[in-house]
Amino acid sequence: MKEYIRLESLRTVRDPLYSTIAVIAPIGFYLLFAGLFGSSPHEPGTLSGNIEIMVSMAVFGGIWSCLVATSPRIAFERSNGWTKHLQLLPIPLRSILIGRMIVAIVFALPAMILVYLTAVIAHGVSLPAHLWIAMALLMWIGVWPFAILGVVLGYLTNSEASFGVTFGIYQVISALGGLWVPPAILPESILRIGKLLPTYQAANLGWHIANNQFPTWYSAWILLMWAVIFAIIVILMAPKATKIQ
Amino acid sequence: MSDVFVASDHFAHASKILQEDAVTMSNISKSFGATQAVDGLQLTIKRGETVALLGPNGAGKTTTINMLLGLLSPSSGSIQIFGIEPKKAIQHSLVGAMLQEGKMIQGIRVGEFLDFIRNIHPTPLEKSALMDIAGLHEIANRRLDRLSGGQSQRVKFAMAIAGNPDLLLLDEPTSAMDVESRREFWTSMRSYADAGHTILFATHYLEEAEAFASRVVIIHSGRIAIDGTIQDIQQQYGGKQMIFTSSDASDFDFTQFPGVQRYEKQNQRITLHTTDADSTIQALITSRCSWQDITITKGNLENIFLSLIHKGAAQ
Repeated sequence: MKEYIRLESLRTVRDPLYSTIAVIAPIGFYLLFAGLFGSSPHEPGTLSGNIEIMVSMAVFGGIWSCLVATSPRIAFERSNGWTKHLQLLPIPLRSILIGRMIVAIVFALPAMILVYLTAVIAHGVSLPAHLWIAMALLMWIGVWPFAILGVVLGYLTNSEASFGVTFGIYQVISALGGLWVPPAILPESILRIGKLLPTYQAANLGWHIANNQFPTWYSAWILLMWAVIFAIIVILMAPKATKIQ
Repeated sequence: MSDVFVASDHFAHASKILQEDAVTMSNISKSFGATQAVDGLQLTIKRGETVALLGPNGAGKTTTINMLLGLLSPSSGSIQIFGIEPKKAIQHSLVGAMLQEGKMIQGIRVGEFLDFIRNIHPTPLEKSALMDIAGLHEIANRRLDRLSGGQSQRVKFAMAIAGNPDLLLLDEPTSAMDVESRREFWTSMRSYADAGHTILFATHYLEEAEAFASRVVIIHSGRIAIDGTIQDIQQQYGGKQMIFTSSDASDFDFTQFPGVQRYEKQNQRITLHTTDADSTIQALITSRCSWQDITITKGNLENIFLSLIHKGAAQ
């Protein structure tokens, strides 16, 4: 598995879909949105725009890192017969799948940290050290379910459809989950749906901690629920998805 | 004490593998829905043999290879590779394979990919030796997804032999290669076979089978139609062809000549298919039939193959 992790890591480092969408885009959007709305006055007890948008964009980048290292690659390899080659190597397919997900989540961390660094450098965001650590760690764990979602999407799509479908779903759940528009100005009906999504709850971990509050258990349950749902779908689909025709 | 047990156990396993046939397929059938792809296949391959698997499209070659690799399970019958299940043989690096399809993954250089493959096998070939055999030195820094068809076939070949497997299975290995790379490929293949490895390859190119296989297995409609050495097959099924022109051929029934199995007549051009060219030519000379421009050729696999397909189509 160690060897496979090394191979997949090289692929991620060189993947333009990772560097542009997971790393550069969130930093660019942060600079844009925080520049426009970041310094407007905020009510006492609420987060400043600089920090709220930092959390949103870090989650936005972390999620794509998890999706891009799984869904398009799995779909491509299934469509083009590479899955067959993998089955001829003395490594179990399970290790390959787990190795792939590990790479997906490991590379989410630098994408997220670069957004925090941008916030510090460009807008002088400052938080106590323990809050930085707690926030970065919990938000990172909060995006893990998306690595499993990426596997589900890789199993459901073929090499042509995969990128479009994955990117589309990513944008929709990001918008509904309040990553694009601050949740405070989302309509109540959309927010009700958004709060059930892992996108909103992964960011909600960060919004709470940055505001020096304990994250809610509700966030943890929603994220865990989605992780379990995605994992069950993967387990059910795996035998058929990797079967040779 | 326990060390001794481990050692002797290991030895027992290794020597058991050494005694076993490379491939044992007994009574294998495989159907996909209503289609019977393989129908009661019986095949044993001894260690060190180089066997060509031939057959028209849809004969069951790829299905057979996929079953030998554990990628497909047979509907009935049992398969053993060195006395163990195909999937276990893969996990023990006893089998290497080169498959027909499979686009290369993106973002990895050839050299990096070889490191990966070598590192997951317990006793891999040396990297430089591997690159020599597969001819990869000049493309070591190229990305896998930017290789030509022939180059990626060479990488797949390296992938197949990286673990130094005892059995190599090749499914139409030269289909994407030009004439030059094909020749180089078979030179590498021959040195791998000479080192005592067992090779089974499926091919469309009959001349490859004639040139490289010590044994040829022709399957047709999921069954073994012919199995033997090239010489056996040529003697038994191919015979020779005697071609000449004749102006009065319609007066003769050439099947009365010794050795003649059948004949074809096209205008003045006669082709006799014979199992005993010496007797046939003697009969031709002593007959009153006029003949010019005679050539005698060895029957080749292509003819055997064609007559087999025609026979199948007629049934």
